Amino acid sequence: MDTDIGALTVIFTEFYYWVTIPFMFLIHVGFCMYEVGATRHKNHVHTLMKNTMLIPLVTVTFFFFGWWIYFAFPNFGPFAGASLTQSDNAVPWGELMGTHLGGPGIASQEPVMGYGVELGNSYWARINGVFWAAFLLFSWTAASIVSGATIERIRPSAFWILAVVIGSFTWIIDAAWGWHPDGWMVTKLGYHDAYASGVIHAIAGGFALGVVMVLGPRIGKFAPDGTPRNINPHNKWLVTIGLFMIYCGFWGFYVACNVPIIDHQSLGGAEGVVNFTATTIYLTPTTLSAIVFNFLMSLSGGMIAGYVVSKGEAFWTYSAGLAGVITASAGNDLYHPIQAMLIGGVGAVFAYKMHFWVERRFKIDDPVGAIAVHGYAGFLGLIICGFMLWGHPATAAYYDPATLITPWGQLAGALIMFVVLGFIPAWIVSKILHSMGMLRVPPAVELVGLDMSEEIAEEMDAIEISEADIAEAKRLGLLT
Amino acid sequence: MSTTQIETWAGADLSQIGPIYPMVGSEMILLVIGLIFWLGFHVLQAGIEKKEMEADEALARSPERLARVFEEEAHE
Repeated sequence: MDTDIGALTVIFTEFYYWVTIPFMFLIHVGFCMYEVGATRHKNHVHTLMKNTMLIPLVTVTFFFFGWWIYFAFPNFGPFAGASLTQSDNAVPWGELMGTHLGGPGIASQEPVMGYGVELGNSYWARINGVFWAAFLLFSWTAASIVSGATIERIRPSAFWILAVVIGSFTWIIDAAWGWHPDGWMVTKLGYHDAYASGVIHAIAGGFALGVVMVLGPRIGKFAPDGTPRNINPHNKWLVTIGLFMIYCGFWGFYVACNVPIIDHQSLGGAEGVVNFTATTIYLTPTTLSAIVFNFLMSLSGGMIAGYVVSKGEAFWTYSAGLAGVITASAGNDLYHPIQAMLIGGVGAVFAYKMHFWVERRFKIDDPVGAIAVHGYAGFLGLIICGFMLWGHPATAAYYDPATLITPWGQLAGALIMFVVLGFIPAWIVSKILHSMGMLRVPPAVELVGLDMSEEIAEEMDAIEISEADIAEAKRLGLLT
Repeated sequence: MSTTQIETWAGADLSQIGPIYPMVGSEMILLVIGLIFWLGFHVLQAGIEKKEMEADEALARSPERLARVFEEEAHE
């Protein structure tokens, strides 16, 4: 902050991340609308509050430990020499986790680790909160994806525990490992996932599958012979507007995945040449133009293919748009827009076909298609990226020689995301909750609806008001 | 007297000023209180929900209510 260009860079970066946050709020608005729309009337309020309350719970836990995990775990993996990284900027008792002007402070702060190390406290004092919040909104998204798959039968208190597990623990471990310029999956496997096909979507899909396998289907979802029945959305308009909201929020999500401005020279680029650029989270160069092209083209590819394969069904056409973006996201920093469109189309068809095949074959009840749209599409997107970007450097310029992107590195990464950090932790925690009788609502309550208490209370209120009105009408002589 | 490190902005060199929230130095205590607040929610809510579910389950034994719910569901 002691030079004009330094100050402008920091203040611009601070504002840039801040702008992404209200955009990403729209994702959560969309998820809430979408889930309530997909839910039967008898479960509306519980569905809404289940998803809404993950906001405060994931937020506070992401403050307490999620943010620290991101900076501490990049080199803490299953290999010799693994160790935690010092991360003073992110410990919840650190002075940089509050209003701070960047000076020396009271406690003796060691130089912060991670991005902006050369700028120290003055950098983190400005960036920490907005960067934390941008990551936090990803955490809400990860947990909210799981929420949709569990509607109408999970106990809210069980879901909130699971939301904290994915939102403030497992997803941020995967981000430290595979969505950090120095994460071991990036430096050792050449893992590349610029806009989170795996680090958000595959993990959330795998996590949702782990929960749903223990939770079981909704009552009535499958006929005695195993044939799936359709439990249609209560309000298709709410579902589709919710998905539109998620599209809008995705703009913030994509933009938040970039570092907006950095001199490539400082990262190990050509010396003596000032090259300001935007980069991915891996500090590899890209442009906002590239990701705008590819976001819209992959969305379009997904929608076109989804409309055809679902025979014009609204819910699946919108979801296919999401699946298209999610499939292309791993490499959307680099793809040609037409490649992004085609990859989006392939991902949409794959997600649609997989959803119904898994439903029929394994009796998995995923009411909103979250496991398919996020999990299977994200998984496939990582594999496709391995072939499409084969040999491109996964690591930033300060890694010389670079670690290169390969199909096998991407396959390993996809398995880590979907299975190791997604499915397995979810299955274990769900089993524990199930064994304690805390996972699923009692069958009688599921049949009559989770909102029964609220509805009875509202009926009583209405009767009381009606009686009061009648009494007043009689007093005025309007009724006898 | 100020709860923060700042008593005036006059002549302040911002590059030498660090945290300006109240009661700097109490972060660890705040963290412990915050953790209790968070965990307390889970514990309290699990208990509240258990009672609610038991009450709902008892209410759900009403055939009239069930019939009404199913009737509404058929028309959704």
